[in-house]
Amino acid sequence: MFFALMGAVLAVTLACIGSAKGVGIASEAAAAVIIDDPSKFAKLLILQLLPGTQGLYGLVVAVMILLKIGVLGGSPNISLLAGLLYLAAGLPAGIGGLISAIAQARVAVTGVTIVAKKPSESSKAIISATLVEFYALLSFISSFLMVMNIEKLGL
Amino acid sequence: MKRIEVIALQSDAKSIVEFLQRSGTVEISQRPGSTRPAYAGTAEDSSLVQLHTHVNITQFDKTLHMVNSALAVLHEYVPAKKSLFASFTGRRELSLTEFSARSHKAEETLRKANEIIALSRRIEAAHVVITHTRSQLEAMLPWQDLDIPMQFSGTDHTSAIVGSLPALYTEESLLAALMESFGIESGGTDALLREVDDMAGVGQLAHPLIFSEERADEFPPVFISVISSSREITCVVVICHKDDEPLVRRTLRRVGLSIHSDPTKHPPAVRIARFRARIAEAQAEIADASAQLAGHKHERDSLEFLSDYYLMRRDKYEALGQLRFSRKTFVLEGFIPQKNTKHLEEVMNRHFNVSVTFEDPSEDENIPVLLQNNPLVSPVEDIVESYSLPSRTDLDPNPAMAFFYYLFFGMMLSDAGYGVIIVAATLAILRFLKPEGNMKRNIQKFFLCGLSTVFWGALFGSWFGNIVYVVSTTFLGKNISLAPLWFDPVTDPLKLLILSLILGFIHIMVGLALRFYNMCRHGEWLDALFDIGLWWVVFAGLGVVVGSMALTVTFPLQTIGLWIAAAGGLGLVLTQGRSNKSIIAKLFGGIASLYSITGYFSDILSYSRLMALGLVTGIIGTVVNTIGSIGGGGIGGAVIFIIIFIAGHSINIGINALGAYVHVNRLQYVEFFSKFYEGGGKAFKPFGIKTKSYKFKEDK
Repeated sequence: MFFALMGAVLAVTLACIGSAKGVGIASEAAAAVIIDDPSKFAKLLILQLLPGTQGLYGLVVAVMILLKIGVLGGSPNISLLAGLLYLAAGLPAGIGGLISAIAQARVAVTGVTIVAKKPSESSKAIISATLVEFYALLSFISSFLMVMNIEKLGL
Repeated sequence: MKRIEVIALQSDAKSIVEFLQRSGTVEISQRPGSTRPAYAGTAEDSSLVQLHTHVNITQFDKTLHMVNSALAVLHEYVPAKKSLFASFTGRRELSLTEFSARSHKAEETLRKANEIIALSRRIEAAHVVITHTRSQLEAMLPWQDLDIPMQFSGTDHTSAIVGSLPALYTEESLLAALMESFGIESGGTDALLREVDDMAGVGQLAHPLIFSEERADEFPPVFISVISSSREITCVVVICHKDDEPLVRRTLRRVGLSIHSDPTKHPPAVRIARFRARIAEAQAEIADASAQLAGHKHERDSLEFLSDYYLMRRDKYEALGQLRFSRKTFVLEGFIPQKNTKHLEEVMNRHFNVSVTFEDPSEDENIPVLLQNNPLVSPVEDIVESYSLPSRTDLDPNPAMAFFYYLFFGMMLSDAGYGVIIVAATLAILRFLKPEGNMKRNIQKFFLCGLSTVFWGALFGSWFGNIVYVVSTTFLGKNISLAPLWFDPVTDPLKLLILSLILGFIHIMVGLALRFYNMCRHGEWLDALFDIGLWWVVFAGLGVVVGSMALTVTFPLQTIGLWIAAAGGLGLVLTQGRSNKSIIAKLFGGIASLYSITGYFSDILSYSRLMALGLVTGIIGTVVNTIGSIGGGGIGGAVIFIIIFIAGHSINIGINALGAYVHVNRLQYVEFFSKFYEGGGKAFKPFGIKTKSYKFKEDK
């Protein structure tokens, strides 16, 4: 039980740490631009929020684990081995989210300079930042598939 | 796109240019390198001249700048109340008669603009005075208690030194410091002995006298009065005998004396009062000018009009500058979209005495691109535009892209409730705020994306997450849930993943098909067959393998599939190196090309984001509902539920719509366009009315 919960904890906390750091870094850069030109706020907001999605993926994985192990209603009763498996399943979303969010934030910061100097090219900045996002998605998908299928092992 | 050439009488030049500006369909551009216009009369060719309109243009730019800075001043001092939706609304309409009525008032408005700018200059000047005076005042404040003017130099027999020292001193400690410094310098020379009695005329000062009687043999007698002292600065008056002045002054300087130069004859207290009065005066000035500016706030409308008006005139003169004149006629060249040619010719022939000719532009010209699509497709044109416009060898990717754009967006947001909200919001904006141009197309785009979201949400049975189930169990005590029309992705995520990958495969195949078609269109059908056809053979073979595995029909089908794929692969090995010279290089080129299978593989896997983002929306929505229902049934529970429902779902819709928008763009740009699209076209920029605040209706 404890290990399964730990899997949910790691998935959501690590991903959220990454997102918090990422959004923080991107927002600092964006704030510096907004000082000079508040009208760019809407465009910059997208770049600021992009590193924030990793936290969401972590949350989804955590919720799925909680559902599966019966913390959110149902009977919380699983074996030690299954608990360890859930712990393992939570890791991709957590670690992948943590590192990809920070990497994405660095792209976003450069994107902020693009928006500051050439606002018409902002979509290119956003697309560049999404390239990183894909790896967070891959981590999320693998975590999700693991969590969904552990109970089928019958442990 | 056609080339247009207009030849008309010089006397009509202005009105024709005005007409073209209102119609907004022609991009004026001279044929590159053709100095000779294509009409007879060679004798006149050399006399074709261009008007020098840049003088007028500079003039208009100046006026425009003035009007715009007046507007900026108004914006700064009297900000207008802007509604939340201001950025969606279109320009205000103005009929042609209103236009001329308003343009007659241009002079008057211009004078107002001047007044506004003058007022803002007054405010700025007053601010400068205030900062300047403040710093003077601050420098003077330590001297407040000095009751003689600062330039007071002494009486008949004495010298007064008024200055400041950069440290904290009292009268005693300063004297000690002076004597110590003096001692170091001169070693206490006897030549400087002075009688105490020589100090005369100092008693009249109110401050205590400090004579250095006991050490008169070392340092001349001085009177020291500390006016004020702090850690940074000590203000002192030092009085000594006239003959001692150089020595005392030198010693003081060594301790760090600096003399303040104040040119007036008034004591500091008077000066301080005057500075304060000056600041108050400047502040009154600012208040007065600001009040006058506020009185001008009704000028904003006419100023905005004036800004538009001068912008139009400026553009008109710029266009006039591109015409070429003979003695009686002029020539105008440019590009015009094919669809507008007929109408324009008709109208121009009716109003003016002109010759309008159209012809196809030559091959080597850089022809501007104007995208033209039906109303379902045109909203996504911006997406293509922000990537790159099609070059002349490209197909217009919009029609193919539009379908997948809406499809994928809906699949990633995939909540029918959110879709309904988007549809309602965009409809309301289109209906009530009447946006224009890009903004209108954006809103239309989101409207269509919203429809697709409703579609997918209904298929997956997601309405604000699982709102129906939660509400019915929490508040009604029944167990109702909206069954998905197809399947529930949360219980069967693998099915959704496979669906995503299949859609991705189709998307990429469509991209390849477009490339195939485009190559055939340019007569490169053999290359098309080798580069794309053979890949299709490989994919078909692999498809058979995967299909037979899924259907568990193992033996014959799987082997057949493998053979087909292998045949395709062999074909690729044989053909892909064909541009290389030697046989070996050809073979290596062919084998290397097989590696791009990994590219296709990762491209298709990239569509797994369709699944991931779709799942996230639904699950977060469900989480919001679950949190909302913790209050249980009853009134209190309902209130909690409604608050959490609104806040949670607003955040979810915002962040997931953003995600869907960003990722759908990426799928188009990276996975789809890379298959067939080059871009690099130049946008068609017609000569027209590019105003900011007003648009003009044609009076019929």
